[in-house]
Amino acid sequence: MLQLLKLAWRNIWRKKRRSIIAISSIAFAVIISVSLRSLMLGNYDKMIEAGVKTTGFIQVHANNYWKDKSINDLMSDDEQIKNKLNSVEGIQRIMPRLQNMALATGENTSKAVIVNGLLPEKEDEFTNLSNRLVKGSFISEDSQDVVISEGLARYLKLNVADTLVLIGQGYHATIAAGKYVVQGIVRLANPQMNLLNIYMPLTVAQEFATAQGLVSAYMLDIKNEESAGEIQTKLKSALGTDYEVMTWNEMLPEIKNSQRVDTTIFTMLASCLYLIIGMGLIGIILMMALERKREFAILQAIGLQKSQIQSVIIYEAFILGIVGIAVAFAIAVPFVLYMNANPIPLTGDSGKSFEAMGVEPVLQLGVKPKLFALMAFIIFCITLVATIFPMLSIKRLKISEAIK
Amino acid sequence: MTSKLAWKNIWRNKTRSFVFIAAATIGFAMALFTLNSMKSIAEQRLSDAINIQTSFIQVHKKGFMDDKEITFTIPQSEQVISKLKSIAGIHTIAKRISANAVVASPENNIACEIKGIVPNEENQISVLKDFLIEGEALNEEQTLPILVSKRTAEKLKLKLESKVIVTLKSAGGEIVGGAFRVAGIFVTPSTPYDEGTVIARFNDLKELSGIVEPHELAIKVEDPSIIADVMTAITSSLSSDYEVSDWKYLLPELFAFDGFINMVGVLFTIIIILGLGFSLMNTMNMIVQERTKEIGMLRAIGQGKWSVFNMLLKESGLMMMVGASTGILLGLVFISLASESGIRISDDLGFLGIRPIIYPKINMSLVVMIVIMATMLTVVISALPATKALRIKANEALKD
Repeated sequence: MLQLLKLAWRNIWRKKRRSIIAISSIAFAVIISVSLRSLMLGNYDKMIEAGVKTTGFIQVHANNYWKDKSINDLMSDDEQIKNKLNSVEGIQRIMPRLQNMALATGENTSKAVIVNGLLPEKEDEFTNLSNRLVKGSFISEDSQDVVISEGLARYLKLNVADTLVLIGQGYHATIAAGKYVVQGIVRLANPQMNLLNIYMPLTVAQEFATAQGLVSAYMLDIKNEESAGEIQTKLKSALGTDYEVMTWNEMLPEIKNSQRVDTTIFTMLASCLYLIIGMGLIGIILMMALERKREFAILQAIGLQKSQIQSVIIYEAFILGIVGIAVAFAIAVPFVLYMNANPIPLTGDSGKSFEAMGVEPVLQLGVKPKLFALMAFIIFCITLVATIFPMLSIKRLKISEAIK
Repeated sequence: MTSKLAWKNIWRNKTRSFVFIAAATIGFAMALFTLNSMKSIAEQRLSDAINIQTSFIQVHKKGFMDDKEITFTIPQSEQVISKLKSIAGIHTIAKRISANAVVASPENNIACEIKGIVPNEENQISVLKDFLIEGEALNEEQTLPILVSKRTAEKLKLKLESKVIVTLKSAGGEIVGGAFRVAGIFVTPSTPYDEGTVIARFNDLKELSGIVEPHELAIKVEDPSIIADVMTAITSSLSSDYEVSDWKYLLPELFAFDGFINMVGVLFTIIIILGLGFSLMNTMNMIVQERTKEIGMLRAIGQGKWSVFNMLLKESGLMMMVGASTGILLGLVFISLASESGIRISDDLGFLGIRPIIYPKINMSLVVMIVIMATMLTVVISALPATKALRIKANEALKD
């Protein structure tokens, strides 16, 4: 077999140009598809990262809360439910929240806002909201003041130490009204969110909505990202039908949906590319066999078995494939690794549209070994198909006719 | 002369040429189809936003677009409107109040934008009435009517004739509230618009809030192609107290999306053509090798170096162009079929304002772009093997 391999290797380099074209075309297809896909997958990871920061990995609500987020669908924040939550392994942090909509008024203007009641210290470890402070200081647990988002502060013309008035609807159709001092201003990445959010300690939010002791959601941080589904199932059985348990996936379907669209576009492009390159490759390998009919006939005449000749053809095809893949990996792997560690920052409009989705404005390539394996596998299959016709032609080879 | 020769040469090896042209056809067809579909999606999204939400041009008080403050109403709006009516090309001018409000029912409440519109003009500018699934559009006869989206109706558990309380800040600075009745329920392709907008009558809001002047004038033009001219005419007839914006400025994300799609399209096309380029290079390589003798002979009888080069270039160019033409034709056929039956994309792209089914429209500028890219790249790609032919010396080639 070694001899046949040597033969195959030498045969390939007899026609240097053609072999180089074949190898380059394979390398081209693999490098392009791997790079593009790595970019898409890396971006996807960044979107998940950003999304999870806002919703947590898992959230627990009263049954049916999430669909309409009614201020009437609240849960009692008591020991019972906390014990049940703690009984499931893998949960790192439990963050209670009370969310409500309200009208915020400044000097001359008013705006609809989202009021977020939370436990400042506990949440901050997870969301790092205090890092986004641009003015003032962050609220603490026993604060009576609030932190508002930058766009909102500008719209209402409020600064640190100014008073904010909030009016809305509270629990069970009570009127929610209150005056609060602005303790700090944060800048949120998403321009819409930046215009909408107010953060206050949980107890203050509960007073505002006349919902003492009640929460709208528990945000959960888990140790292992992959186990979100598992933990969700365990929580569902521990809590029963009065509650709903949702993963970030279910709360942010936009992420999965955009990913689906991207994947469709990529699949179309990649199929097109591999189809074209594949046809070229099949053509090349076919030519490599057909043009050497005389040579094969002579080899057979001097004693080489047909099966051995077929093996040589197969080896030739696969060597082209493997060398092509090797060249592609030699270029693509360091490239992807480097880009993964050094993402390109996006400026201008494209950067802004990323930030609008709350995603860090960078071109991030993800490192996905499975991707490389898949592309190599595709090339492997193409090469296999390419050898079929040459095999058949050799089988039918008649020495007497070919040698003429 | 060389072209005729080139054409004949292609067909000397039918199989080889056919294989390449087939690959090229598939590549170009897929490229055109995908690009056109993506472009149609972007265009549909844009036209929905323009026709339902903003219209083509809007006039505001200067500074309104920054934070959309409720105090920035258009000064002397009636005079402005009569002044603008005389400008050629303007179809309708509709005035609107735009304020932040909380809309509440006993079940729930939402924070949203409430638009106060004048039914007569508004119905000529906005196609929202086509998206009503229940009830009717606003008119002058109803009592305190309000239009809400299906999403809002579900959230607040509303039906037709349900009562809602709208709370907002008045012109004087106090919080005021008033009751409205649901007169119609709509569903537009844009989920964010649906969730954040309710529509009432201008006069009703005026009475409730004391806001007398509108915040925006939405302007529909006779034909989209004259927008720039109309804008210039409007800007010159108004003082600097006002700002005039067109849809590009009003819907910046959609405009940016359009540019993004174009970029993706060019990238896609380049990649496919480069892929084909490898096949082309290989084919040309084989041809030059096979015909060394023939090329030598041509040189011997006096054909110039560059003439031969030219001929080979033309051969590869012709193959690529034949492939491109059949590919583009095939792609156009697919697009026409799809524009009849529609392409089903996801149901869940409402957050981007994309409809679940699109009917692509043939976009000739894409065809032009593809042809240009194909031509440019073909010249570059086929130059390589053709240069080898330049080096063929007549005497060596004719040996043996």
